[in-house]
Amino acid sequence: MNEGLLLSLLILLPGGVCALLGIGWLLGWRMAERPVARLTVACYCVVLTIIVTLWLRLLAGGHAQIYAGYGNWFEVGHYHFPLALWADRISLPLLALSAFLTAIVAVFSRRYIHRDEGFFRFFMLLNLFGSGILLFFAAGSFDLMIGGWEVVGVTSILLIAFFQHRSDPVHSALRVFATYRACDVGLLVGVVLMHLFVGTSEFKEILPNNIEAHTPLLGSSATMVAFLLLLAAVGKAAQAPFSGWLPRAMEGPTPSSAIFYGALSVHAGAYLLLRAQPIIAASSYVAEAILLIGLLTAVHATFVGRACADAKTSLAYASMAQLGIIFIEIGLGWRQLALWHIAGHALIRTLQFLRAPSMLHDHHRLHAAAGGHLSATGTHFEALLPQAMQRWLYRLALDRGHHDTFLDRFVVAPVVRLAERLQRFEYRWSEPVGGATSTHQQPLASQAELLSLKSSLKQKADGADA
Amino acid sequence: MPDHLFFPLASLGVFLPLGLALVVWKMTSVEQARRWTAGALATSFAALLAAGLTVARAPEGRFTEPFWQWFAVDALNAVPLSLFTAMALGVAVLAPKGKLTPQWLAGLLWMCAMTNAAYAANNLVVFVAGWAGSLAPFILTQAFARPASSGTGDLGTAGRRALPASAQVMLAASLVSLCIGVALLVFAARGASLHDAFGLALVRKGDSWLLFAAFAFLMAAVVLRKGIFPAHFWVVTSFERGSLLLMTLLMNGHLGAFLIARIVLPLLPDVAHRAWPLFSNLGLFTAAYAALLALVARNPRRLFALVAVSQSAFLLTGMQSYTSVGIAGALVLWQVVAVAVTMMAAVYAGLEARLGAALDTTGFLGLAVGAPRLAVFFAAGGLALVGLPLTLGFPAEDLLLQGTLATNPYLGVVLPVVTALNAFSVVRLFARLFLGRPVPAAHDLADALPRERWVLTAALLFLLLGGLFPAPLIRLPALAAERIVNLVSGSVDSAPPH
Repeated sequence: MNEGLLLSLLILLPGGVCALLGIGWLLGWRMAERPVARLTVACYCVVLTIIVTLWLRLLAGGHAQIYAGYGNWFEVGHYHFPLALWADRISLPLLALSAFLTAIVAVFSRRYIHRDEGFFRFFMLLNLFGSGILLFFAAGSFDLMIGGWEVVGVTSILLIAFFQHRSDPVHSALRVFATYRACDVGLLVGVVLMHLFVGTSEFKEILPNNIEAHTPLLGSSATMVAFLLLLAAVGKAAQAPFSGWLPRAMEGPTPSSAIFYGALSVHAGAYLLLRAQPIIAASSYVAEAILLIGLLTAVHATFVGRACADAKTSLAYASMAQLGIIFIEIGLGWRQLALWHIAGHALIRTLQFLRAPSMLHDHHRLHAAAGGHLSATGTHFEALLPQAMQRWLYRLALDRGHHDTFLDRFVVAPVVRLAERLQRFEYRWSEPVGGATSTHQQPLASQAELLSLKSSLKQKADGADA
Repeated sequence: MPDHLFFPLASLGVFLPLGLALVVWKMTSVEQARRWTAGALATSFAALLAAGLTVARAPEGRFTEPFWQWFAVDALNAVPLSLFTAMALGVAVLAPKGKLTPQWLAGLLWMCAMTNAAYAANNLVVFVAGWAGSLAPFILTQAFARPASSGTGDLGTAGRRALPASAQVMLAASLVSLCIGVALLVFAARGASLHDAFGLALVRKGDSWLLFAAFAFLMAAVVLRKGIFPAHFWVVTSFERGSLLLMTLLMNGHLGAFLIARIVLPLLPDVAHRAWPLFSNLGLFTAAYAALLALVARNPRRLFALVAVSQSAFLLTGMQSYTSVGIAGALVLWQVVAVAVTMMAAVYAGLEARLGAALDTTGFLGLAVGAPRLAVFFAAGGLALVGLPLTLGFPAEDLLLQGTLATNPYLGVVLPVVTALNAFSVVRLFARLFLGRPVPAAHDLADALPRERWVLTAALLFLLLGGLFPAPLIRLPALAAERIVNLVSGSVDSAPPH
């Protein structure tokens, strides 16, 4: 089978399973849990086999990469959007890791969310995520990377709000979405600027010979693009000052926390920087900025993580700290180490996330068996600091380094204040000419009124060819 | 030399709904009226689709009718003709039954026929007639008035009017402005034959005060009809107090954008080139202004209107780019905005019809418990509207960004920021409506009815398949864009993005 077909199957198989589940749901099919889970696991086993086959072919052929072009997705005038997939020694390990961990999470989830009303939805979203992350890692251009990147983002939001009956997960999902979208602007504009400066965003043009040679993006162009890509990477990898979303994302079910925030999604930002390494090398100050951001995040996450009271949030900060270190490695140009670090971290963190619920159960059992007298776990290095500084650090850690406070006060609040002022201005000038008045801002029915509709609604629903 | 269609397909697309409008007006049974309306619109859609496919086979051509020359179909109007008729068909099928009247459906048929006439116009007179006719049910008749006995609901919440008085005034003003603009345009062609003066081929070169005046009046018509700042308020008010479905249809005809692409840019290239940036920046300001207002809007109809206004305003910025990429992006975004907004409006109108009142989204309603499919349709429409990959919105935004950033980096940077704000507003609205702790009424809510399911699935497939295989949907707008650029610049794509 040719390599182009194999590469395309990586994305089409999970995408196909997602589409099948989606269409089935829309048509009202009732699929049992077991076939859904088995179909998903089988899909990722096939995907993993394909990846291993491609890897072996790459090694046997002694090539730097496998490139598969599928023509232009669409074109207008001189502009075209190329469809190309790419597998090399950076992307193949991450592709393999994605398929392997998604299969593991699927196996785990079959029991973990057994009989949950969202079982079907979870597996549909898991397959959508799988398709998106595989597209992201296998993309042959920065254009196509945006596709995978956005799909991963949206799936992430939908899974954070998985327990949709509670308002906290929904609030958290909105917060995460806002952060993602704000940072994604960097990726969008960065990629469009690549087209503007060098006419393409394909790896084979921008990253010749698999990141070893020089990129055609140079000087201030490279710096501008690299900073924009860094903005996107910082958002996705929960680096300072956009780290506040990661603990909120823990509202989702544990398997999705494992695959997204322990294993794959949070590493997408690091992969983007690894992929853009030649552009970063050709730019000024970006490597230093990556180093600084990584260092700040690592220190911040280490301190905050120690003040966390629940297991998943502690793991989230531990992930953040490791990601900070990975950023440092990328900033220093240690690409291979960063890649190994990503792989190792993804594996160990997935294990920790998946183990967390049962570990808590074991801990409580042990605690009870010991008569409630489990000893403390020991002292930490910060015990060497003066008491006043320890207290100050504790307060800092409790408010999670004031990152969210900082963003709320200096970014969100001014935008909302501006919007509210504009709204007042809008009412003031449009009211005399027949526009909306502030009273129209009030909805026509309150929730209390909706509650009172309950009794009459059944008849409405029955007769409602509404 | 223009080619001819093998059958008067465009005329069929115009006169069949027009004729049926008169028949349906007199009917007494709503269901019978709905069946006739759907049949007429489906036939029109098939005819216009056939015309579109004829154009797709020879996209360079401009096909007139075999017997008369009132209408013509080409790369610019082939897609809007089919799309608008399909949307009108969808609205006719989806419109909640409770407060539907035969007169409402007759008004819908009339509006569709007249909008199609404006799209297919082969001269200025037919265009003006189509523009005026599409507004007639809103301004002159009570076709879209709700029955006096009904309460609040989608088919009208402001007394007996479908639109507030201020909106009617604005629409009438847009018509007057268009008439003056066209009159000046014709006057500027004095010396030419009547056929040429009223035709759509005679380019008025130069930048005399007369042409500037014509341009100003035509653009004023666009601003008033499209709801560009400061005329956006009537759109927002009408969404809040009028019929959501009708407003969506009226707005998504995008006749203002069509006026620019068909008349302003090709016929007044020199004046447009000098004065256009003013309107383009106005479009961008409108997009940003509406996006900011949407951030703090609590009434879902208002929020919905502001997002729609904001996304629609991008069309102006795309056309300002003067590149085939940017203009094609604007034309594709037109399709996306039209389908996605109609889809979301239909879902929201369906929810209001079920619950009997406009909804309060100051808290979470959790309606997905009872209506998960409606939730999915709403979310998919919203995400397509803001350019999510795997939907047609993504290629549209991509082209728009490439086109605008190439010619005006300032525009190109503001666009994604505004889109991000709109995306947040859309997701916030989705979350408030469908997620969170369900209100008791949510548990008994009826999910998508079969007729809703089929229509909304068709819209969803259009957005998804268009996202996966966008080339066929982009081909005609791309050709139309290249033709506009050629007309304006006199060369082949003189300002490529790179």
